[in-house]
Amino acid sequence: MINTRSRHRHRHRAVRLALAASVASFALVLSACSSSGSASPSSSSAAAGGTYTIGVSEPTSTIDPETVSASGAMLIVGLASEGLISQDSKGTLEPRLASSWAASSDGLTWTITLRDGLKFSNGDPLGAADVVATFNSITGPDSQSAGASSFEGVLKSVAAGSTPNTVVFTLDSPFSDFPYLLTGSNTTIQPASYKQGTNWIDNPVGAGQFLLQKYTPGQSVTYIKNPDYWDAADVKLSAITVNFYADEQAQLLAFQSGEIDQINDSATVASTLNLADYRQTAPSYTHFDGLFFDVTQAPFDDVSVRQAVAWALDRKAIVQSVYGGQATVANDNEYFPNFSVQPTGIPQRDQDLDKVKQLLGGKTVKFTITTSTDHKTLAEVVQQQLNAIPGFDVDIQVLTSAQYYADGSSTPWLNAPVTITDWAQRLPSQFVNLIFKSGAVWNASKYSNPQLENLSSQYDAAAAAPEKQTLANQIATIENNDVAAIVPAFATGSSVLQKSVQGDFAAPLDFPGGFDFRGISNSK
Amino acid sequence: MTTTSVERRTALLGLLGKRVVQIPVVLLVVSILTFWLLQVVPGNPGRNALGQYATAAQVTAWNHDNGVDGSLVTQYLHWIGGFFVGDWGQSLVYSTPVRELVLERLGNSLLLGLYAFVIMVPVAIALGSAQAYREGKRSDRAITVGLLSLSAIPEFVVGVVLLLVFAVWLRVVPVQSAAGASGDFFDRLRVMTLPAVVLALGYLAVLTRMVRSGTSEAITSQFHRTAVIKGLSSATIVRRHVIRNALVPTLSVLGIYLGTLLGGSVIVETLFSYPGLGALMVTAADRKDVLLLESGVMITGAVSLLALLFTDICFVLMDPRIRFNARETN
Repeated sequence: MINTRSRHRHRHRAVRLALAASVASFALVLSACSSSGSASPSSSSAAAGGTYTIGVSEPTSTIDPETVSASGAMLIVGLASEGLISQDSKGTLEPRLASSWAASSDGLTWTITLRDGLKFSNGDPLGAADVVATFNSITGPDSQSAGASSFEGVLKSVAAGSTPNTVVFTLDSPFSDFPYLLTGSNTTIQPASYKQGTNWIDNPVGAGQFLLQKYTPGQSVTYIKNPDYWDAADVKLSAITVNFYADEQAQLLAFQSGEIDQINDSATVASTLNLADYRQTAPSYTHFDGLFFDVTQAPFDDVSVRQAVAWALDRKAIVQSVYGGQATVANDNEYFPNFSVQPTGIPQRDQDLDKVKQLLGGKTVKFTITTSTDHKTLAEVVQQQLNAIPGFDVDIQVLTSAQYYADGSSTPWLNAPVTITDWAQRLPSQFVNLIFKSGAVWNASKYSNPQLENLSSQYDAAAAAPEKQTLANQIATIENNDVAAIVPAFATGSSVLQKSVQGDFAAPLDFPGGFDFRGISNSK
Repeated sequence: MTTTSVERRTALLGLLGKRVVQIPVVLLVVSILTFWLLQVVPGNPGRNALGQYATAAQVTAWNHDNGVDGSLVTQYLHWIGGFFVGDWGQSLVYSTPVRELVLERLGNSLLLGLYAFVIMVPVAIALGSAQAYREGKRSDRAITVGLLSLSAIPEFVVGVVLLLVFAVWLRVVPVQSAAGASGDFFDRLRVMTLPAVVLALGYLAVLTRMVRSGTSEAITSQFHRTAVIKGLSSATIVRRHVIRNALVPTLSVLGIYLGTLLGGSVIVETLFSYPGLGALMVTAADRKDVLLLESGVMITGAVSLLALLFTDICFVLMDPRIRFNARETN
């Protein structure tokens, strides 16, 4: 008996040893094949600041500064080009290609002063003519830039100023937050010779912190530091590589292996990694997922029904279950918490079943929430929360993005009775103009309120902080009472970094933040 | 010229003649079906390119500028006309000439497929033959159970486990195979090894079973007994009588596998971020990049059909009955 056990033990040990030896020899063979001796991509241009590698999903949109819309493509463009102004992580305006900006006393013109000695990556000087050409191209009648909508009804004309380094933006009406529009998507400055839709990636001229060296479709994009950048001394990295990965899991494995230096924090990432072994950037607000009601159709033509839904939601549970805690409870208005003006005096909505009962008045409301696969979890959680309350009978319809955002007059995202759509951070008045203004192209709620539009216009024109605060309170109160859309939470995002990354990012790596790598280095 | 040569040449010419007619017809039908199916699935190339916040007018203008508006027939004829003269158009997603993109990815897929094939075939022959000679013994059952268990595990699970071991823990290969796909020979070999192993494992069990079955049949046949009685050495018996007969049924399966392997494996290429044709075509279908998808489908189809043709030719050349008949005649 003992001999048999002993033989088994020896056999198991032998099998384990053989297995370990196989893995080790396979690893040795693979390792021997490596000319560099490391799995990590090596850089021929490694220098003091090191190389930084980012993993993204392959861009789903064009890679063109003025028409780019996908986050990966924005990164590719944003590293090689730069706008006039950017925002830091707290939403404060930061001068970039512009050194200063000022409004006229009537608020109808904004004069932007450019830095001296700016250069494009091809060596050409960057001047007022390039800025004028860029904004004329974005807002022109043939523009295919989604960024054009930000300037619609706002920007009348743009022209070179009286001095060589100034540009004058003339507005249709006073707009005190106009500089924020210059931090938006698609507003990086291009040479006057640039034309939309002419394969920018083949000739990626820009005035960004890095020079785009090579784009390999489906694989990667490589950059080196731009020596002509206006603040080149503060750009420590010598190179950046953007690798494309199929999905989040591949990115996570790449991060764990040290192949990439940062990964977006998410529930999967948080549950897989021991975050204490890494660095984390400060969270910043990214977007909200709004629940939009068609207020012209029953039962949502009754404001009590809309309010009942708003009071029925357990927003704290939504923050935890849908956003994994990476969000802040919102109060059915579009003032992101990092915006300089915050509405006051409006009680925060939280689940109140007595109020729901009172608002519904004994009737049962039946409806279907239509959304895309991106917001399936939120739709399911809202459905579960509402169906648990007497008076609601909610169904959901989840479509692919292509189906949900399909073109045509009957597109679901603008025509279904209840929809869930995400909106990236914008100015509060932009939301009014884009999604609540009567006849606005993205007004999924079919909502109309002249008083709200009037207050929003006054807000845009107001320059004094107290006046802005009063108007913000009034606007948010209307939005909160009318509930054309429920904003249950403002989502945040942050990145997990390898410990080899040194320095702090001034802003998230996005268009408003201007893809700012100043002060960042990598000791890997 | 011997009767054998004449018979073989006749068989080969007949086969080639049939395929020369069949292959273009099949490809033409496939291209029409692909073009039509892509229009049926929801999505709009212009919307994909410009994003959800572009206006309908901007999307329409983009589609017009990129030649993806107008009737299906016109679009198809325009594409196929260009395809035959080497103008495969511009990829809507990658803003790169389709021809350049497809041929580069085809090269990568061919390399990966061949690598997997080179790993898989000798291993399958060795294991299958060993099993046949040890039929019914413990090692035979162990190999069968082991291989069937491996084949039951999805490729993405095997792939992730291998990545965890060799990329994350041991760090001897990159997670993104694309990183070394354009490097020197050894770099390429290194980054392609894990994807090739995963690809090979997916087909190994069936192939080994085929070899085992063919070998088993061959070693229990009369000609095998005769060869043994004649006193031929084991090596000669295996080389001249067993393998040749055992591989005939296996060849048909190999042909199908070769076509699939060379055409690109979507799951493996996606998992390892390997820049192959399979992953490229998934992207093209997802984003409605019609020119890219059509060209990719045509090339993949052509490769698969040619692989089958190659198999058929091998089949004719290797079938020992032709040689046996010839000897009888002589």
